[in-house]
Amino acid sequence: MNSILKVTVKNLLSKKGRSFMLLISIVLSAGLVYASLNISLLTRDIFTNSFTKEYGETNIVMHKDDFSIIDDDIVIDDVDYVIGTNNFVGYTTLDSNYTVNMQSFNLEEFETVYDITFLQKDNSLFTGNKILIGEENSTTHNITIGDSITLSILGNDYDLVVYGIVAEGDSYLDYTSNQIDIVVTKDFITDALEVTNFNLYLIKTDNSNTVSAIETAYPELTVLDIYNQEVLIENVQSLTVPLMLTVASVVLVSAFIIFSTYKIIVIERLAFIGTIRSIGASKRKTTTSLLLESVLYGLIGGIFGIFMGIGFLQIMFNVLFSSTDFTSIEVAYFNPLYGLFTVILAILLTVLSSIIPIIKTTKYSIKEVMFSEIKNNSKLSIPKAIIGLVLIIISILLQVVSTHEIDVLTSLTSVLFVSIGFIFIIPLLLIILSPILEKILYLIFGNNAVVAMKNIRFDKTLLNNIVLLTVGLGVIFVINNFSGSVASVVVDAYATAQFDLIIDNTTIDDDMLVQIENIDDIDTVLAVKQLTNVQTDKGFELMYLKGVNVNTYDEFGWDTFGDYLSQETMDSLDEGNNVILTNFISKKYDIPVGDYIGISTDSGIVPFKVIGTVSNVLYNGNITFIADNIFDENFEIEGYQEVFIHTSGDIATTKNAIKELYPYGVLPIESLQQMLQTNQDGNQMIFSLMRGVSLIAMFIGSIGIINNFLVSFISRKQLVANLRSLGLSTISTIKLFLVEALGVGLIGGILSVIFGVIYFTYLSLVLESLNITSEVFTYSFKEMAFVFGSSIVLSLIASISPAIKLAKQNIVKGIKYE
Amino acid sequence: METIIKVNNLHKSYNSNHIPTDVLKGIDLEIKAGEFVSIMGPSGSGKSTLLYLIGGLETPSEGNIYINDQHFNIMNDREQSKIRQHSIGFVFQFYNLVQHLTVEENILLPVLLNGGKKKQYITQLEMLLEKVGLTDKRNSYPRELSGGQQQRVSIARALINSPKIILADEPIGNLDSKSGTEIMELFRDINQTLNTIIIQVTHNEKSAEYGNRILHVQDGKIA
Repeated sequence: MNSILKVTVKNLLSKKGRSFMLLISIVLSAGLVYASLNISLLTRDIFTNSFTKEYGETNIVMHKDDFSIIDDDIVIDDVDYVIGTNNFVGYTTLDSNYTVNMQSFNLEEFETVYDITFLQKDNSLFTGNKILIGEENSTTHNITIGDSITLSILGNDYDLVVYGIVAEGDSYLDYTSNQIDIVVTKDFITDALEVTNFNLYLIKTDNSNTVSAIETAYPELTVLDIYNQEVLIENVQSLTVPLMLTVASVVLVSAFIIFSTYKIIVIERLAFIGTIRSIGASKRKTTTSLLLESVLYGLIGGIFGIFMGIGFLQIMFNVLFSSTDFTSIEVAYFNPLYGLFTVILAILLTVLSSIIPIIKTTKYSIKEVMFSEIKNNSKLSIPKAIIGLVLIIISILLQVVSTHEIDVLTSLTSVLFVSIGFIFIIPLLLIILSPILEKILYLIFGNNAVVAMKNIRFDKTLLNNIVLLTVGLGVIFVINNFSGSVASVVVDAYATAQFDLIIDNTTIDDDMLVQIENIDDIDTVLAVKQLTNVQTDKGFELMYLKGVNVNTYDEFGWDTFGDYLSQETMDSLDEGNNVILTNFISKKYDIPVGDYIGISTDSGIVPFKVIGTVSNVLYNGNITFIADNIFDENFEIEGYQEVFIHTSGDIATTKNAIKELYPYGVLPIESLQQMLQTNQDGNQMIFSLMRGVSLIAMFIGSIGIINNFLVSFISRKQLVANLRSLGLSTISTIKLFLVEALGVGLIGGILSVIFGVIYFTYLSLVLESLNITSEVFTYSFKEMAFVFGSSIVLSLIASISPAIKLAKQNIVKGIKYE
Repeated sequence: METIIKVNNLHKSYNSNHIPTDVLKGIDLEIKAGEFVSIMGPSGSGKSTLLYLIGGLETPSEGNIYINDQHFNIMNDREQSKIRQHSIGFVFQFYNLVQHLTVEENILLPVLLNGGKKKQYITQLEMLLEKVGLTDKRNSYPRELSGGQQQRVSIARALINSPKIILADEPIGNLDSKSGTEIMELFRDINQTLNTIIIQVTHNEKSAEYGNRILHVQDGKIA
């Protein structure tokens, strides 16, 4: 074993350049895996830490949907504490850019919920108009004990005096941008604001049944199990799943590089293997040596990958959370368990990618090995091509037979099958494409084109380059198109919007609606009722069901109906139980116009006739419309869930005026421009991460491409020297290799566009299975041209240096090269 | 007879680990048109180096080489390439054929890559195929040929530009004795019918005897 290890280490060090190249791809892949694994944990840590700051020891919170006052008396058994508090929002004259988030506690309660340290504290009792503030807020706003600030709530001003300053890091009083958090006394709420009940209950308990018990006892209230929220998990997943998918592509590219490099390593090592086998070494021993070498690569790559991963993680963290206050939360970048997992994964990646070429060596006889009868020539493997075609056909058939109950599984399987299938048929496509290209290139480059295209068709390393370009640039094509189309669809959608301000994700009652309408400068207001997750008789839920007046909705909303439906159809919506679906829902669940869909109403399942379908990308296409009068007939719900506002005044001023009407938390009101910006920022964040990862994939791919060109050119060192001895000029030699690289680039470009379009189409199906309309995603000719051009440029750049080197080699050395 | 190759006071030394090693120590040589010269000598005597210097694959440390009265060793790479292309053909121990090109394509490769048109070389190609006895194998691939046949292809490739000189470095070193004899017969035929100068480096006494002059190189000098 000792001697095997020695030989293995010597082999690893014998080709430093290639070892370095292999290690780089393993390190980058392992680093990305480590970072993408950790980012979900890190994100969860960040959310958990932010919850701990927000709610202290509390693990359950309870409130009304709209955070209005809970009139019931709350009695909950078997808990450590139940603390009723009032969480209101006000405004301060201190700084008009800041809202004031206040929560009422007596000191004992506050110290029960939060483990705090007072930096300064008044000796008097915490009563009346006294408040607590955080350390950073005290510094930033230059307020200290005894100072008073003016607070405006519901149009009334109150003078509040600072009673104590709490150390940073202990509670929700920590500094946040745009908001000052304070603790007010309970007297202040009851005496000044004349509110006697609470709008928020904080509960601490170890009893796992408490949540369901509270939900049963108080069905009208929202009960949040803070650290066990599906929403939280979904939020984290929405960040990490696309990232993981992209990283998986990087690992795939890496695996292919390791696989193709090992094929070369094995061929180079054959003479050595033959020699030691001829003097008695068993096949097992030679295989063990090669396997050990790949394990060493994996081990070293995995360890360095952790360091690389920590770097990636810091970059990802900054990209994801740069616009939030989360960057101040301390998080651990090193996780020993994930570190170990990364190293194991790196070893597995290397060993699994190299095992096929290694095992192949055992099939050769000593004579074959000794007399170099094994060549690195590529020829079409018919069984492989057939498997490829079968996989592609299966992927198409899966889509034909798929139903919405199994479409996640079928679409994911299709993506996998079509990707592998396409890679398998690349040699076949090469045979079809190369004669055509040969004819075209012959017109420009003459005989060089004929020889170059023949070399491409039969040289395995050049074929590997085509596969690398196809997969790498295909993935980039998909990512660029996804991000590009989402960005343009968002801009297009917002361009059609007619409103100035929108209140969404909360419930506005009739009183508040009247108050809004009465604000100066507000011209018109449209309030829409909406239900979420409404059951149907088709085995799926309507994510958003809106009750609308089609004509008015278009004037305010998103130009939803006019472009897609006739006036007659629009007018008929309120004439009975009619429904308008999005194209996405209609297609996905196979409910065409004229069909009926049973919708679960207050009086049971009611059949609604589909009278039209519209193209809509809002809510990812998961939106359904019925007439507002029909909505009221079938559903009894309080308030309005979506309010559109037209104003003739300054938008920011109107917005502040509306916000001041609503003391229960920060009102989710946004201007059209803000909404667009928020949406664009969110998309930008995730897509820039994905782009970053895909660039790393391309970087790894480029290393592989350069290596393959080197190997391909070096393997012809003797031939080139021979041809040079017969008078082939340096220029002609360089020209031959560059035409070859151009051919590789052209074929790689064509195939990457084809693969990209197929991959894109199938990934859209995956997204549709996850209830995201594919109408959002379109691919552009610009991206096709970019990918096609990149393939040519990359291929030419990667080949220039080895081509010149080879053309200028010493002919005698080249002839003697073995 | 006309002197085609003239070598004066040819020296070649290499630096191995900063220690200069003299391989050739003053060679004088004249080769006339139609000669078949065999160069023999022990390993390391400098015989292959002499061949490479004559063909312009290496630069002499001292001395001069003239080919057709042209001062060959002072020419630049482009000029030397041109001379090699039109006047010199090399044959090596390893045939170095492109596996996915046919016999015909391999023979034409040097002219095609230099921009020549196949049409212009068809007559020459037919003649060479007949001479090397591979007319019926013109569309075969190298893997379908024996070692001797592959060496014939490489000889035909070296002759495609109708050179006046063939430089062969151990041309039968990789072949069995029957194939070796066939190749030497082919060289003799080429020498006699095409009047091509053949200079071969060999270890083999029997193959050396095909030459009409045998030079023995020992310790960097012609003995």
